[in-house]
Parts: sequence; C-alpha cells; structure tokens
Amino acid sequence: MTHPLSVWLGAFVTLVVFSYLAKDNPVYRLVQHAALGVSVGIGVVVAWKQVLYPLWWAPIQGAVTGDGAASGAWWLLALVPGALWYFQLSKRWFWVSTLVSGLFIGVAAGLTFKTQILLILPQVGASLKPLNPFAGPEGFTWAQCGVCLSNLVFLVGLLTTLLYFFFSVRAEGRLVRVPMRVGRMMLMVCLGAMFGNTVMTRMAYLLERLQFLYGTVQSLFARG
Amino acid sequence: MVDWLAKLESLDRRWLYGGTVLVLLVPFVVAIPMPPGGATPATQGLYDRVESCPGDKVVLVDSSWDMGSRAENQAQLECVVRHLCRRRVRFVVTSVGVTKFAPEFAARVIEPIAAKAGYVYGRDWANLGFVEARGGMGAVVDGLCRDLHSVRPTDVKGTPVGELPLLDDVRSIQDVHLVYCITYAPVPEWISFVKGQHGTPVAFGSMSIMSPQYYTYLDSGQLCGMLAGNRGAAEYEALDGHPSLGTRLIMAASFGNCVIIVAALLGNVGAWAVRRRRRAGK
Amino acid sequence: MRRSVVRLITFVGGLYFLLEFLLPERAPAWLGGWKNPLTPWFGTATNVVIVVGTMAFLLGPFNLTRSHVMTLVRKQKGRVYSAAFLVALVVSMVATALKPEDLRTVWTVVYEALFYGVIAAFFASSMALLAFYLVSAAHRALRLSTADSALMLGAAAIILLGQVPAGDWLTCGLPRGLQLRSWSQWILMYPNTAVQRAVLIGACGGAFATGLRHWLGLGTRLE
Repeated sequence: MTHPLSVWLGAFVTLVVFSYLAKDNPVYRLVQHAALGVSVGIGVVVAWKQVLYPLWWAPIQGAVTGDGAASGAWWLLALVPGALWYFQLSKRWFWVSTLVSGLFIGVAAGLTFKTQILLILPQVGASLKPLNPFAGPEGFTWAQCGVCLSNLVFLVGLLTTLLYFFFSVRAEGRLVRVPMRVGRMMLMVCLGAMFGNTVMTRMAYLLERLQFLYGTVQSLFARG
Repeated sequence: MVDWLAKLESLDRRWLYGGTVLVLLVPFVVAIPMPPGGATPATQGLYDRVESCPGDKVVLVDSSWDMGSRAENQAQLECVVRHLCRRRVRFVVTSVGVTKFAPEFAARVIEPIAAKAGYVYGRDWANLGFVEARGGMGAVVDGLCRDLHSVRPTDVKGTPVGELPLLDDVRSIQDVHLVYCITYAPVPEWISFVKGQHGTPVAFGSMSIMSPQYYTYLDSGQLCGMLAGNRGAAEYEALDGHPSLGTRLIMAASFGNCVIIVAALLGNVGAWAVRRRRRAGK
Repeated sequence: MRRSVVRLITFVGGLYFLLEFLLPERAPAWLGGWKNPLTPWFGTATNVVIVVGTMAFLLGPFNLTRSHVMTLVRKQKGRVYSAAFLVALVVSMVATALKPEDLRTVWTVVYEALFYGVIAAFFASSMALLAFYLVSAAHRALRLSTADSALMLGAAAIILLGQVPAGDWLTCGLPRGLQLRSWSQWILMYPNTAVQRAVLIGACGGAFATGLRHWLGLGTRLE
C-alpha cells in the first residue's frame, strides 16, 4: 500500500518537471539535484547489499568466523584489482587504473567472439527463404505465392541494404545505381517503421504520467 | 484562406503542448470502446510458450526496468506474471545489469498479483535481486545459465537461496522452461548464451522504440516471442482474457498517435500555404 | 613497459573466456578424453568479474560529492542546489540502509517517498517531456518534400495507425489482408527485418574487428 506522501510528492515533482516546458526555473533545478542525490544514494547501498555483501564480504566473514568455507578468505585478494579503479582520481597515478580497465576490455573482447558467433550464424541461415511458390506441400496456392513474394522482397532488401551500407562502391552504372537506390528505399521504409515505434514509446511516457496525475486527482475527490 | 493556413506553419508550440495534454486526457475521462484486434505472431509465441510450461520447470523472468521504461515494461511484466499465476507456473525473478532500481519495481508489481493468486514466496516464486554485469554481460548470463546459486547466493532480502524451497529445484538453465527478459532494450547476450549455447527459449519484452531490431531474431527463431510496447501487453492481456493496464494505455495511445499525425499534417499544410503565398507574392 | 603490461593483462583477460568457449567440453577419446580444464573455474571467474566490476561503485558518487562539497565550501553560485544534492544523498543512503525488509517503519515511508515520490516521478516525467518535443518536431520538421521522405512518412503513418485500436477501427470493414494492422505487421516482418539483419551482419563484422583490436592491443592507447 503506497503511503499518501509518496503519491503527493510524486504529483508535485511531475508538475515541477512539466514546468520546464515553460521555462527553466529554480524549483526544477532543486528537484533535479535532489533526484540525482537520491538515485546515487540508493544505488550505492543497493550495490553493497545485493552484490558486494553476498558475493564478496559474506564469504570472507564466513571464513574468518568459521561459519563458511575457509576458501572464502581468498576473496580478500579481490581488493587489489578493485582498489585500482580509484587511481582514476589521481592525475599522476592514473595509469595504474588502466591495469584493471584493460582487464575488463580484454574480458569484453573475449566474450564478443562467443556472443557474435552464436548470434550471427543462425541469422545467415534464416536468410535463405523459399522463393518457389510451387514447392509447398500442397503445390501452388495464393497464400504460398504471397509468402514467396514477401520472401523475395526480404531477400532483395537484405542484399541491397548490404550493398548500400557496407560495400563502398561508387554508384556508377545502372548495375550498381539501381540496387543502391532500392536499398535506400528499403532503408527509408525501415526508418519510417522505427520512427513510428519511437512515437509509440514517447507517447507512452506521457500517457503513464497523465494517468498517474489523473489518478491522484481522482483520489483527492474520492477522499473529499 | 491561404494566409490563414500559412499561420499554421508558425503555430505557437504552447498551443501544441496544451492541445496534446487535452486530447490525451480524453480517453482517461471518457471510456471509448474500440475493437480489440487480434494477437500478432510474436505475442502468440510467448503466450504459447508459457501455456506449455510443464510442472517440473520454472520460468526465469529477468525484470530489468525502472522508471525510465516503466511506461511500457510494467504492463509487459504484469500480464505475463498474471498468466504464470493463473497457470500455477513457478517463476524466479532476476534483474541482470542495466539498473539497480529494477528489483524494487519488480517486487512492487509482482507481490500483489502473487498474493492474490495465493502464491507463497520462496515456494512458488522468488526474487533474486540485482546482478551487476558491468564487467561483462555475457559472462554473467552464461554464469547464471550454468550455476544460478553461484551467481546469486542470496535473494533480494538477503535470504540464502538454500533456504528457499523453490531454488532446490532450480540450479541451472536446464531447469528453466523459458527466459523472459523485460527491459528498455534486451541485450543479444540472452539470445547467444541462453538460446544459442544452452537451447532454452528466450522471449523479450521491450519498449516499442527498440522492438524493430528484434524482429530479425523472431524471424530466425532465436526468439520464441516478443511483447513490443504496450501493444504487445494489450494483445497478451486479450489472449489471457484479462484486459488491464496495457489495454488502457494502448487505447489512449490511439489518441497520441493521431496527435502526431495531425501535428505533421498541420505543419505540412502551413508550409504549403507559405510557399504558395511566397510564389503569389513574386 | 607500462603499455606492455596493460596489453598482457588485456590479452589474458580475454584469453580465458575465449579458450573456454573454443575448447570442447570433452576431448575425443584418441586425444585422451580430457575434460575442458577451464570450465570448472567459470563460476569463480564470473563472480570475480562481477565483484571487481562492482567495486568501482563509489567512483561516480565520490566525484559528484567532491564537486558539490567544493561548491559549498567555496560559496560558489548554485550552492543551494549542491546542498539539496548532498542532503538527498545522505538521507537516501540512511533510509535505504536502515529500512527493514519485512516491516514497515518510518524509514520505509521515507524510502518510499524518495524512491517513488522523487526519483521515479522525476525520471519518468523527464522522459514524458520528450512527447511534447516530438509533437513540436512533427509540426516543424516533418516535411513531405521528396520521394524518400514520403516513403518514410508513409511507412511511419501505417505503423502508427496499424499498432493502435484507432487503426483497427478505421479499417475493420476491410478484408484482413488489407487492414492497417496487417500492413504494419508486413512492414515490420519483411522490409524492416531485411534492413535490420543487414545492419546486424555488418555490425557483427565490426564487432569482431574491434574486439580483436582491443584483445591484441593493436593501436589502442589506454594511458
């Protein structure tokens, strides 16, 4: 059950943020700084409580008190690379932090190969779509013909987009110019689809807030 | 007439903002019935996968959204959790990477639904809380797949997973029937490691703005289903026979989308009138 | 010397995960049938990555706090806002740390007020402002001036109407294949998927090349 303080504070903050549409104002800035402070403060405690405490501190504590495995004491060594992050704060010793950031860049790079291989191979395989409307289990049907036409659009779109984007050839001669033009048209359609979905999301943000404000006003009248 | 239309091109934006708010408030004040529309294959795929969950397996729900994507992700979580509870499917909730505020939002949504369905925490569902993935999302996702208890030794409240009866049966991805990841933009590592390496089906619940890029995974079969924004949530609610938040918001979104189309039309009509006036003036 | 040490650490960091993936789970019998020696350590390696990565959690808060404290100490412009940041930081840390998990106390109320009343409302409302800017941009910038823009706006309009009940209502009398929602689904499943897949295939090549560059330390400067 939400305490009324949360609801009214939320409504107040929402209206203050909307006041920015008229003009940047001191109340908005105050709320902005307060919100930043709250998000940083909660983030710090959550990082300790839900990540570092159970994975790092609890095994060390268990090893010291005898409640857990003795091997938990090895986690103390994690302080060495962990502390290296904070050398970023010093101009003179900044290079020390590159040791740990280099480690994570290496980890990310090593994982990238695995991620991309497992991601892309099925994509390439799935691009081979049937184009023969007579090859269906029931022979020729208009539905099958429609699917094959759509598959053709897909294949043409895939190849022309690859040509337009990645194969940096000069658009000379109809042989190259026409496919590149088709690729560009496909890109326009895709961008239109992405824009349409962008509008859906942006409107959803506003609708959620308006629904909240409307609910708050409703509860005020219900109580009154 | 052309002079009047030309004024549309330089319409004060405050009129636009005010008009937007007024139009968007209409569906909240007045209930306007509209045809529900059927489910897309993407939504149907997720629904069918949840329906087919056997009793000895669980669903892993990665709820990694916060206030920045609550507008669409909340409805996507609600409708699926409601379905899981109706089907008496046990589920485990995690929040991998992305945002530290996710477990709080997930608990806020799930607890009332689970309580109403008579679910007992620890036996029928569990919230394992936030998992930091700053070092490498792939390593964390792969680690969760191989040994869930190692990566998450406690739940969100600090209770050791050994004390939760549900987690006795859930040790690795082999005990999971479906991974459903809800966030602003689910990362492809879920597909690479969960589906690609371990073969467990994956479904996404993403914001509309990011959903176009996931259709390629639906086409290749790497995703078994997807809820795209509030539309996906509304379709899922219709399939489940429980219209709720997603349905309310998509009804209101009709008005929002029309506002954008009208704004673009007004701008184009105004620009045409200005060009016409300029040509007449010459 | 420093650069060489950093490159070596970067290489070793990536080598473990790459080898663990490339080496088979079990070697063939004629090779001795040995198990992958790196797999048993995967859980520990993952937890080390999580723990060491999370240990940087104080960097950002420390920088912000230092900046705002200096603003206050030096009595610079905007010190009221800095004070608001610091007070909010301290109160939220105390409330989050002291609120019990299963009871409702005054700290729970304070935590909920800060969480739902302040940050949830603030960040959600900030995103909501984008809708207003979108309406303004649609009015001022979306112009039907070329064939390409017409194609883009046409596709956008079909998607916009095809995904909401208004579109279903407008075309409910037409055969299913001609309804707006069928058109929007077709655009998303065929042309959109084709372009997204092409971009993904290209991006994969780029990710490989970049990953290889970083892993081998070719042409990178970490200092």
